[in-house]
Amino acid sequence: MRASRPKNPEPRRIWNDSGLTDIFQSTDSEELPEPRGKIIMRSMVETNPEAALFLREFAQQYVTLENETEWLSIQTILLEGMANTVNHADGSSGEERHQSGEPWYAAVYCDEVTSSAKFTFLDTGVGILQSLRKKPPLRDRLLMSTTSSHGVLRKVLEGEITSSTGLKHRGEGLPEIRTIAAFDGEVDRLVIVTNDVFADVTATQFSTLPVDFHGTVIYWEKIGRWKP
Amino acid sequence: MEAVRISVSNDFSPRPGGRFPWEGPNSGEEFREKVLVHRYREARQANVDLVVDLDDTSGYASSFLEEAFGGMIRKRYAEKDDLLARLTILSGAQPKWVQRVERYIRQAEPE
Repeated sequence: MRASRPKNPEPRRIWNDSGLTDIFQSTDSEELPEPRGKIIMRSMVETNPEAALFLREFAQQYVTLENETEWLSIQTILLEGMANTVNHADGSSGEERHQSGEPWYAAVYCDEVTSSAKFTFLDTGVGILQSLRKKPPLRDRLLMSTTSSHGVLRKVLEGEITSSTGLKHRGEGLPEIRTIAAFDGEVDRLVIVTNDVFADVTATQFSTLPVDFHGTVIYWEKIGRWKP
Repeated sequence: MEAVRISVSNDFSPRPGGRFPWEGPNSGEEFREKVLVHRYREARQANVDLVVDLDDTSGYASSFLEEAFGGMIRKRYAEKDDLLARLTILSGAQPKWVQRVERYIRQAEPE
């Protein structure tokens, strides 16, 4: 495939370091330095701990953390993302004991300049908010009491609105992600984009987007020390 | 008598997964049904403690822990008071998992 490289220096560096140059043949002839970052991706339709570990261990090749046990929380976020997709991404309640069939995609990019591992988790299912709109009366009341979409996502992350299954013991995944990001400080930045909401979870900033994104993106960064 | 012990890593899998087997490999339900229920019964029969070591795994989804331990109450494998009294959860790597498990047991109600 042929593609033009970004013209601005910083996106151009990221493009080069991402490894996408292995896939795309550039339309300009400028020689770029050897990529300093590495990118790896996985896609599946199940909650798969081996795939999560694969991505995590890839990052661990390049980034060292002062507290190595924090990698366990990276694994947790990946597993929670997968479980969310597998249970809810097709808009079903998750009670029917069937996989949504929606694939998830996860990638990690290790950035030498910032000594960080940058994870992206994506599905193109119905999105968290759309999934919640098929709710039993309890949740409907909660939804009606909140005027904005981002207010609803905030309640989900705070554990105030439980799972779309309507079961009290379900729906711990997103609050767990928020705890890791906002309270335990085990990631340096975590962002969720779903439907028409942008949430910078670490900064507790929520906003409504002008366009609707069909699906869910979870992006997070972990800064450490670059391994020589 | 010595406590009955479980290492999730050695006695089940070093790579715990999601909640249910249909979601993917090494689920919390599978751990509960294949390991936890049997060891709990053993501990109860001998009237000793049950020690579950969560360390040396790749990490946990909340749904794994909730289904495994909260599921003990929901599925009526254990009385809440007895399980809480008998169970010791160990985790040097992530001490917050210990509190999580206790919370899941306390919040669970028999189905």
